[in-house]
Amino acid sequence: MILSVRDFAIGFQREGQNLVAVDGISFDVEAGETFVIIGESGSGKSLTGMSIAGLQPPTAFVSGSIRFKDREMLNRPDAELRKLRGPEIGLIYQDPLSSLNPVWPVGDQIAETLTAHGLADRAEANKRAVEMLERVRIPDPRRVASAYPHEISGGMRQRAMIAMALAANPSLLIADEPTTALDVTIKAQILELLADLKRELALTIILITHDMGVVAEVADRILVLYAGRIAEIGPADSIMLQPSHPYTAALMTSAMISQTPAKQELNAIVGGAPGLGAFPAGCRFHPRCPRAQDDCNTVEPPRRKFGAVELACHHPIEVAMSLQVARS
Amino acid sequence: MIAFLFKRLVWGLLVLIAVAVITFFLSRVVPADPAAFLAGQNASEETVQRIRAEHGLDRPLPEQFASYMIGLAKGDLGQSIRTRRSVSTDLKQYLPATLELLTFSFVLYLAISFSLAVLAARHPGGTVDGTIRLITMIGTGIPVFWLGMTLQFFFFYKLHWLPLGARFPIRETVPPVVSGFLLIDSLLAGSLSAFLASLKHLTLPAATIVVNLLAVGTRLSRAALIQEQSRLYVRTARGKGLSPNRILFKHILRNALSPILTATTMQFGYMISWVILVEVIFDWPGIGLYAYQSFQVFDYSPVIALAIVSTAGFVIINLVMDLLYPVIDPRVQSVGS
Repeated sequence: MILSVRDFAIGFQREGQNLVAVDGISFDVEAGETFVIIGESGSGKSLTGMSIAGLQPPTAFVSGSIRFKDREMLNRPDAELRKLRGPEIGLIYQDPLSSLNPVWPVGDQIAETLTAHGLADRAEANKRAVEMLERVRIPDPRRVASAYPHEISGGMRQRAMIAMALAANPSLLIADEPTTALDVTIKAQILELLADLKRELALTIILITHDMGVVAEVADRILVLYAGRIAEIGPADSIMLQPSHPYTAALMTSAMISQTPAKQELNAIVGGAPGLGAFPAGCRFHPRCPRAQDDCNTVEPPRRKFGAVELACHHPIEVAMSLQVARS
Repeated sequence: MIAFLFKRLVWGLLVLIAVAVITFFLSRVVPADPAAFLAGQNASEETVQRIRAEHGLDRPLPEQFASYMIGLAKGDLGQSIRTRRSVSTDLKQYLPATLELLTFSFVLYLAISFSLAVLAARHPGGTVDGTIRLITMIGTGIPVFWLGMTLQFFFFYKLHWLPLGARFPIRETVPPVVSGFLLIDSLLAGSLSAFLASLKHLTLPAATIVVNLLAVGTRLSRAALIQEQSRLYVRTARGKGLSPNRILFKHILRNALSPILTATTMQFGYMISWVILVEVIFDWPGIGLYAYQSFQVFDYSPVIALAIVSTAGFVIINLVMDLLYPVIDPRVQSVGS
């Protein structure tokens, strides 16, 4: 186990009110797996991912525990967290163009991961930067190393970001929506690259996404987050093939339908995700849930084991039914 | 690139011609007779006539204009009635003093406004930010002439720390002229005491100019820095485990430079206009004081020359700044290429 999150909560104070964005979630990430956190925007998935690296907004309050390799990450001084970011934890983000410094050559930015941590001198770091670019399958690494971010393509930029995140040889890569800004073919290439690198470098990957298509490609285990709470967590196969939580099922259905060629009917989940501070009582999904009953409105569902997965639902979908729901 | 330079130079030239034309006619519109002024109160009508003819002031205005513009095309800025020398000769004497004051103030302004902006941008809305805002605002609110005289009152009259005015102590030997900048020439001559003396003379005039410009300069730089702090590449830099100082100096500053450069160009324009006033207050022997003294006796040519020279200075600074943008930000392709 490389990461252990217990009762983690994060929120903000606004106009004297405590607005809780992520409300006491617990999960473990095993070394070497690709752990996917999926959820809509506002579910708290990015906040969770950033907090693992100690990059939560400075105005946020946090509670609970995030232990990475037996180190408590929450409320750890930034000076110590900095030593872990780079050599232990690498991060990549959604928008590689804005995430790269526009006035620095790409190679220098990769090399900086090494020089800033005193892991290599300037010349050695530059050499490593070119090697890393080669490692992320960039055909002309020397040219790209001396290019500015705006001079290379979107896919190349994300590859360069990956090279930068992995330059100091971290064991954990946190990828926050890494393919959202990319088109479909590039997206597939980047996911394939991440899968290859994971094998080659013995990486653990935490992938944060809202895209079921991404999940299907790479996930070993999945955590479904809804309105700051865990809806369902378990092995990717079980969750993808037989979603038990109505929300997961709805996500799967909309993903499947959007992939069919004739998009006559968009089977979107009714309503919108609740905003910060407007989470409903009881099960937070109940206003949009087709299976909601009276108890869902008032009693918060506890997390429990259900077959191969753990979920928080009063009325989960049985195996036989889940197939039916998925087909409907 | 060359086409761009050529275009900008042609534009600059057109601006200079326009400034020459406008100031020429403006100065002639003033209902005053420099010849009578020069001749003195008791001079006879013939004397005035003679002086008038001597300087071509008796000829019709279009003719005066034509001869002035033809002279200008040949690089002749005309004759000064007051000093009885060519304006070009006078400028050669006075321009270095002004350039030294401008350069010194400019460097001081950049250093101080930048440092204050960095301090203020660390915690926007915090105590340091508020204090810096208050102090620089007061500095800008104070009229330049009042500030200059107040500084003289305290640092010269009360504390005896700094000289009242001028560029160099009268009783000491001025170092041999090489660059025209006393700070540099005194060092070249190996005289530390001369260097310190000229530094002391520079302090109050430069301070007066800088204090006035500080509020706007600091605010603009601070805004540029704060805007850059929220960019995504800063998150990436934090994700790499960089220290806040490294992020600020290696990543944010370089990106904030372009907007700061734009603001600085405009501030330089204001600086040129304040220099004239400050030279008069501190008896600084530069072109501002020269033009002021010339204007008092309606000596037209030096005044027009000052307008042309300061405009040329501004045009050149603008051009230099434009050439700097692509150096600072690789996304800005040099406008011409």
